[in-house]
Amino acid sequence: MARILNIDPVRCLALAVSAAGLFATAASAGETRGFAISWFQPAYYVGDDDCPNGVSKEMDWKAMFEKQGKTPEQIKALFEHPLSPEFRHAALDRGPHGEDVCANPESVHDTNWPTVQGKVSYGGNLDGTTDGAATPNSCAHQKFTGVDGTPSVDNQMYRVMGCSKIHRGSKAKDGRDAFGIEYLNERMREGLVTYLIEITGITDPQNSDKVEVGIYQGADPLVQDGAGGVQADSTQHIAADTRWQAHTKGRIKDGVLTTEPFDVDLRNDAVWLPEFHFKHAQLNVAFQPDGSIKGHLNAYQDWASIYWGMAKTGFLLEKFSAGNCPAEYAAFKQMADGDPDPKTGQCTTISSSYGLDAVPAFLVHPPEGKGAKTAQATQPIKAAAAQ
Amino acid sequence: MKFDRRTALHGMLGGGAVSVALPFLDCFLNTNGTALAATGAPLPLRFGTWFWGCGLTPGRWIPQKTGAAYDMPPELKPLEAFKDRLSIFSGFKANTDGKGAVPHYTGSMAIMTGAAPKGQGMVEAATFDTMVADTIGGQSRFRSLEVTATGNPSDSNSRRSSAVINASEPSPLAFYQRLFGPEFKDPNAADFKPDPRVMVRKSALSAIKDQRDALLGEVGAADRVRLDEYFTSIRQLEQQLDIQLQKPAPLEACKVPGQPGATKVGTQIDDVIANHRLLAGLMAQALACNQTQVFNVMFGDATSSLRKAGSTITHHQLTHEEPIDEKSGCQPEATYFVERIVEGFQTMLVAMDSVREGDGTLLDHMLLFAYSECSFAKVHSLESIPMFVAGRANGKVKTGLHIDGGGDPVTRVGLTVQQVLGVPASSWGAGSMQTSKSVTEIMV
Amino acid sequence: MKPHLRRSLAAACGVLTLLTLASCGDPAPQSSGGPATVRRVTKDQYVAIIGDVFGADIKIQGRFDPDVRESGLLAIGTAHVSVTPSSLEQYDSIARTIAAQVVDEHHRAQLFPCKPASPTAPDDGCAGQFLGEVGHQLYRRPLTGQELKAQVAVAHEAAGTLGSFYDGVATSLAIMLESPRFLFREETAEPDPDHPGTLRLTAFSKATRLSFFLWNTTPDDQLLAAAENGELNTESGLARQVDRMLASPRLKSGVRAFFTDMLGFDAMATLAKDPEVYPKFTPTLIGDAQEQTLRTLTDHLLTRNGDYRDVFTTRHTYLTQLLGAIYRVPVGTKGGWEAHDFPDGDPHAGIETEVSFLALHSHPGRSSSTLRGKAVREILLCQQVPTPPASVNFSIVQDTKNANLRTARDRLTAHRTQPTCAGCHKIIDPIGLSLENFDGLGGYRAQENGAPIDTSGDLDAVHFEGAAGLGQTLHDDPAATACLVNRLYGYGAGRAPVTGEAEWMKYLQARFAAQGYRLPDLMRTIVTSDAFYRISAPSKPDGTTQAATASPKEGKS
Repeated sequence: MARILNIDPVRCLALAVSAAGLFATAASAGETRGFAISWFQPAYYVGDDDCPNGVSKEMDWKAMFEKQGKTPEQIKALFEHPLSPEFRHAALDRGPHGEDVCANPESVHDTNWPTVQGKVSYGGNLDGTTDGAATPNSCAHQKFTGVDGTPSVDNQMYRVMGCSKIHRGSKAKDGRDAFGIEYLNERMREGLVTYLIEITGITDPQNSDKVEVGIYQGADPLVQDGAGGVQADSTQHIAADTRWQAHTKGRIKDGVLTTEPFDVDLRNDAVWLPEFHFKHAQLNVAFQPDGSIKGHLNAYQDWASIYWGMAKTGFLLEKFSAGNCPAEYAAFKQMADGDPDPKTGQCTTISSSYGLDAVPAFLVHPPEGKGAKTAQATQPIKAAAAQ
Repeated sequence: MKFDRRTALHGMLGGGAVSVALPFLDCFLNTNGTALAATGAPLPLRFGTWFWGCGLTPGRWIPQKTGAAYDMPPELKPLEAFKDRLSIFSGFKANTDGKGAVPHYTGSMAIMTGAAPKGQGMVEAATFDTMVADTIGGQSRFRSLEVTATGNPSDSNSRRSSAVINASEPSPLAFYQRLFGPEFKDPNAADFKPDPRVMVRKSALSAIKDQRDALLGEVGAADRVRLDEYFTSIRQLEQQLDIQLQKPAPLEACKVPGQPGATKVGTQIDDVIANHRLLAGLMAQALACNQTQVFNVMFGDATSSLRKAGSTITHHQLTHEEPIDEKSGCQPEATYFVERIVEGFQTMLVAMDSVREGDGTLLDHMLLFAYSECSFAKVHSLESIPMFVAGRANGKVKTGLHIDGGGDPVTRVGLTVQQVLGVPASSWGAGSMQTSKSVTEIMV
Repeated sequence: MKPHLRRSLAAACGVLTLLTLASCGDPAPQSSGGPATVRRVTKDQYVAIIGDVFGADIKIQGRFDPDVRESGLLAIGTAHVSVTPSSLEQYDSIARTIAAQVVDEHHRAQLFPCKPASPTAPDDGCAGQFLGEVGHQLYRRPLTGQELKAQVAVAHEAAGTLGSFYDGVATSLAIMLESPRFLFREETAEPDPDHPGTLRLTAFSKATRLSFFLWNTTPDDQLLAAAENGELNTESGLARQVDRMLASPRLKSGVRAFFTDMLGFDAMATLAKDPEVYPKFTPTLIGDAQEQTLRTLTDHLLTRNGDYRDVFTTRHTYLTQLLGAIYRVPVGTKGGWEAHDFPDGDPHAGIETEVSFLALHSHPGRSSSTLRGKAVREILLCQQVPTPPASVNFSIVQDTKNANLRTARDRLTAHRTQPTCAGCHKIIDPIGLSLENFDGLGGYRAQENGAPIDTSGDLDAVHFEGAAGLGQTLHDDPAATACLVNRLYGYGAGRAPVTGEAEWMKYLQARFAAQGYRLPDLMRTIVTSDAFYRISAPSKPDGTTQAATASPKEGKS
């Protein structure tokens, strides 16, 4: 699991140690603060030049059917029942041998997918380079400038998804009102999943050199308050299964917490993305006057599982979300910038940045040794070997 | 066998639908007893009260001119369209005759009962809306209807005694169900069959009425009064059932509204405005369908708890704590609520005026009395408490006048209103507020 | 001598004096008793009665008119309220829905002692049997022959018209449920053979008072039987019933009902808080807050048989997760209650620091020392706070240059420096100011608008620091225990004590002290006394007293 990045050896050692999970979780001197995450969605910046050709559009099914050689009567009949299996097959089975292109995204060549052309994005410097050139652990790609001016930001997932119709929100709401984003966060708030963060060893809330950070799946649904937000100061139980936990070290400087990279898997929503697989993640959050934290989780994600999460909805993606299975697959494949496959060199992870807000919470750890188990991890569906 | 009404109805109901013409309600006949509402005869006279807490801003609501053609000061601007059917009463005061002035209470009770109350929650007499209801309210399904936009059923100024308060309905949905739910008899329905279940219920009430004498004989004097109130309520229930057993006269203006959705009730100003609008509309239809002739509406409670979302302070607190802005001469944040209140009154007038009835509108056939409990809430002033009379009261009242009371007691206005509505009173009020001097300027 | 010590000594002396009056063996002083009352049943009592008589699954749908508070209690207001036309409409509607359920196929099997000869025709025998049994429980005494005859006649006529025995009975039952004999608890008196020349409550009136006081519901069969056979008029018979009722789990309902009234929880239903200022405010939270205080009280006073004075200082309470979020403590139990002990020295001490008190006596968007101080005086100490004077003129107090006063203490400067205001406000505000660490929802804060909060307070001559100091002061104040005795008695009797009961009330307070301020003992003392059932002869308008009004013949045709 230890991964050597092309950066200075001291930091490298620290990473190796943290990645191996060797640091103690025993109580250290200092305060402990717990948090329940109230916002956790990709942070897609909304600027003026990001999508010069507009956002993705629903495919022109009529034109496609015509091209397939269907008669006007057949087309009319299909449109009378757009949710029928007949329509679905006519729409998705467009591989050369009648393959469903969402299940077989490389059976057709389709590049008709808008990618972000802007220069600004949320995120962090994940590959350690200033220019995005290839390294033994990353693929060549373009960098962004951070929204707050941070240089050399890696966010290839933004490049792929930033012009997706249901993922691009309004400037005023900082993109948080995009349908695909707001909808999923609402499900989280309603009790779909709960994510918790615990920081221990805080000696000074503004500046603490050595703190420990735990990231956990929660066992209880979030509690909503009277103003539509997540209730602060509620009590949350940490889920016993250690498969959905991670620990790392961090520091707080001038009220901002940053961490060493860590990997974490978290259970998510079954429809769009059953599991998060974050790799080399770094937390970057600022303490707010009311005790909450606000910032980002910057990380690589296994892109195939993101694609397959969307693609298995097939029709839902293409008909109702202005998506395009083969084109999006191709975009992911092209833009992916992390963890190259040793045999093929194809990068298997993609850099991303998630907006993260969390309110204070009391966290209850599961009883020691009782019930804690490691479930069999769901293996991400491996893409077909690079073609 | 005793032949009484009960047996007569029973006999008639034994068979199928009743085809006997049961007596029409008297109020729909003119003095000759021949004309009916549908043919253009005068329609029943309605009376309503409309209350808000914490008064208005001195210097911003009293017109400069008295009499007709008065000017509309800034705080009354929303009422401009109704000027010709609106009379303003300024300069009338409430006297406490040595009793402590109970803040946000003495003023309204002086206006409505004619006497300063001895303490919070107490009254010296019934509020005069109950007297009007006793005079004109006996022919409709409900003797009176009380609603509040504040969300609290205890917000009501309608009382027969210190302990007998007519609670207000705060929920538009519940109000709708009470008015137009299963017990509603549509006056314009083509067919009418008296419901045997209603007849049975009415007949069964005699078992309670028969307990009256025994019960009243067993208890002391004070309890006798309370229990008598109970039996008065029984009689009214009986009357309601009676009305349900009679074919109601068709009413052109009666259009059963759609059921409103459930709403959030409370003192947050947006909720108050929304609920008030719904309640006003329902009340207008209740009047048009002759469900009642007397009604009482609370827009804000006496200690105006109206507030803005996200604010730490209520209207009432602002009136005490907010400094007066030198330029405008008012308390800006508090005035925000005053403006919403006057707009609310306008909403009520619009609701009543929107129902066409006979040769005019519902507003022409009613007298709507609006009042507060003080003039300047900051100091709980009882001088020049704002009072308005709106509507033409079937031609029984002169409208569009500004009357300056010159320090006279508020009871002059209450007495005048009662007289216009037919309450037999030549004088009214207690102590230094006792008066027989009606405000003749508005009397026809 | 420090004011605090002087006060404690005075209190101790007072208690000693009372104790000598109340030493074992001393009989209770005579009491004049007060007038018999006629009390309307409250909503909670109505619901409890229907549950007890017809079963808990009977649904009650409708609006009950709000009760009226007098002399500090809704229970006393019940003796002054009547039934308005709109509330009778509601009672009528509720009664009909209850009756319809009682006679439906599912319930009639359990509730009817008989079957009619034909379900589509009247059956006076069966109707009479059912209505007589049910009426006995609803009217809290057997129906007179005339009453039963009238109800059977109603059932008969209705059954004939509607063609259904059960609909006929339902019509008659609905009438009973809106009858004044059910809705009003009419007390009747009779000459007391043990004390010639005086009156006492009749046995059924005794049973009614006892049952509503201890269990907040209608007398059960055992109690009604004890009334009928004269047991309740004997010392041992009364004691037997009292023991039974005090030992029952139903005592908790009664005690909860008492404190719900005394602490003014009826106002919780319309409590408004601004969700933007207090996002943790939800109706569920308010329900939990009320429940928390009731649990704190019943746990301390009943389960542990504790000293009443400790309710102002106890740090032991019960919390749900929603409450945990307000108090900012972890609560592990999901969807339920768990015991919680605040650590020593924590400002959360006593019911006056619980959300139910703090949130109820605040504004929608901010706390209020004035409202809280007033509540401590009026609710916990039974002291009347005068209304503002007739000539209060606020224009003289507004300092237009100082619009932004940061803490409540600052803003209330005028209250304590202007002579016309200070008179009253100096006895109210200083109490509430000690609670200013708690915001308008009851959440703790160390600062307000960036300024530290000074929580020193005063209650009469006693100076204290913070909420815990307030609690200790209330604990030591004889007015607090005297207030409880006064309220408890008023709650049971349905009226404030009269002058002729003053000696007996003092005796009661002394007994309460001698027994370590234990609530069940106080209740026992009250309900086993002669004084509680003593009725004063009513006076005629000319000032002379008239003999007891003849009570209706109970249980005889």
